[in-house]
Amino acid sequence: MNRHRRALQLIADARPAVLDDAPDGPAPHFPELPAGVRSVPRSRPRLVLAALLPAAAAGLIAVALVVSTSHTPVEVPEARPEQSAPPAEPVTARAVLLAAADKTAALAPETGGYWVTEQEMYHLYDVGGYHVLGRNEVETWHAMRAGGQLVIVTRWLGAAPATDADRAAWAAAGSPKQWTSAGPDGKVGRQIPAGPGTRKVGATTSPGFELGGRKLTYAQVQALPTDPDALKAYLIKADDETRGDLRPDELERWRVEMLFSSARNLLTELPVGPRVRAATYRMLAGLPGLKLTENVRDERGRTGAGIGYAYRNEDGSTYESTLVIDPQSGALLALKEPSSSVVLLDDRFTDTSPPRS
Amino acid sequence: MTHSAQRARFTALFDRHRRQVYAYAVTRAGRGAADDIVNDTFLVAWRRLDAVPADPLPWLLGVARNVVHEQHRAEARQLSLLSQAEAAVEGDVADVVAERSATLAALDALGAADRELLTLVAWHGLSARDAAKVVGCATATFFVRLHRARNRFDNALAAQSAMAARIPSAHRRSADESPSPRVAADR
Repeated sequence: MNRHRRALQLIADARPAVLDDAPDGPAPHFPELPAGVRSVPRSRPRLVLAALLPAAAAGLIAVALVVSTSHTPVEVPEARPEQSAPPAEPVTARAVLLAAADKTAALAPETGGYWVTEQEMYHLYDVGGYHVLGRNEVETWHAMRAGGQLVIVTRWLGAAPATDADRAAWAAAGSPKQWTSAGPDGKVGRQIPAGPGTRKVGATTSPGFELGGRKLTYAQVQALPTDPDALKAYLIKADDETRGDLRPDELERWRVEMLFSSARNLLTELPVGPRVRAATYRMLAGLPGLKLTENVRDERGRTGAGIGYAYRNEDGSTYESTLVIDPQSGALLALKEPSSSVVLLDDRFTDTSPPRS
Repeated sequence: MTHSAQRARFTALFDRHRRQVYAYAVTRAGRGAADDIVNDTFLVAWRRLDAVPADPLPWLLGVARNVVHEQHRAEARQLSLLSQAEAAVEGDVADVVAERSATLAALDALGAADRELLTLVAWHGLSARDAAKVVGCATATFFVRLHRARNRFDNALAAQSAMAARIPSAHRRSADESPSPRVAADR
């Protein structure tokens, strides 16, 4: 038996029995779809499909979350007084990103033994007849050395009816303090308490960072290109190496989607310094199809410029992902998607040790 | 397709593959999230029934994979296969347990991507071609990645053995006293 077969045989022998503990039960009874919703996905799993899924998975009726924010689509670009530019530039997604890049590039790089992020994640649950918005706090500590720890601290912060209409439906249902998320058929899902839960701390060996299908060490993250064109070329090369073949006519759109997703990843999941962050904004500024929405409010009430990109499925339906950027500081405030959002509260380097409990 | 024909097809799909989707979900995100992942995966399958291919398993696991990435990232990151398996090894013979534990610990030490490739083939019975469909790459690319993952697994396993040799455990002491190196699992 060669080494390869032997390794796979060892792994096969260690297959845990719990994998086969699937509970018995009949097929869930999902409701029939409204006309026109059923769509044909692309032929292989890919970025756009990944992005489309949460809308489906969250129970189809994701639209309600958007109501909790104040989206104001910009129809006519308006001139905005800019202190430095004499011919006032129209407010466009590109202009917002370039300004954010300038502000970000001026920041001093930081270092430390750990990179810490604090985020709040919001998810919309269908609880049968109405929706509640659940809130999780997630703090991650990434060791900045190979073989170091990744510590994740999570806490459920509670849930509440998502909109005024949901609140009315909740009151009519007797104002329960606990919900069960339902498959639309009423199949029992996850328990959703209205009140906060306990803090959970998990630690593991840091798996490194992922970008464009590649796995990177902290040192490799630090060596990422600080020039937007070089960064774009780097991402395209990484993607070309790790994805399957695409039809030539799909390639262009695929790349724009990949670059938007990678930018989102760079800005939220990787410990990149101000220069790479600035390059990311500048690279984004060069992408086609970005939509600016002014005065987008995140769940913490902070307002910023929304830079939206609509991932498109083959049937023409879209799934919009929006970066909310603070025009004052250039900082990324939040990510918004149809049925979920992530609010970025902090992102810093420290030499303090991560919490153990 | 009529509604009842759709339901019949969906029910057959669910009955035939739910165990495999569940096993994949446990492998990626643990028991706590598995039921949710199965439910969300089949909800997508129901919505996209027309798109489910004749050989549905790689497609279903590809959907489950996306569900994990989008909604269970924290669980996937924190997953320890060793602790998932702990309940199952009770009562096994110790040296078998030790070998399995070392294998699972080595898998845990790998990145999620490597672990996924290895287990798709070794635990979920997928051919390289089907496993490539799940992760969305070309078969040739999959072979290259699997080869690298296997090398890293070998290294991680060697590291596990080295670590185990340095720690004199209760098992080892009692094993030394036995005529054959097997003892009851007395954890």
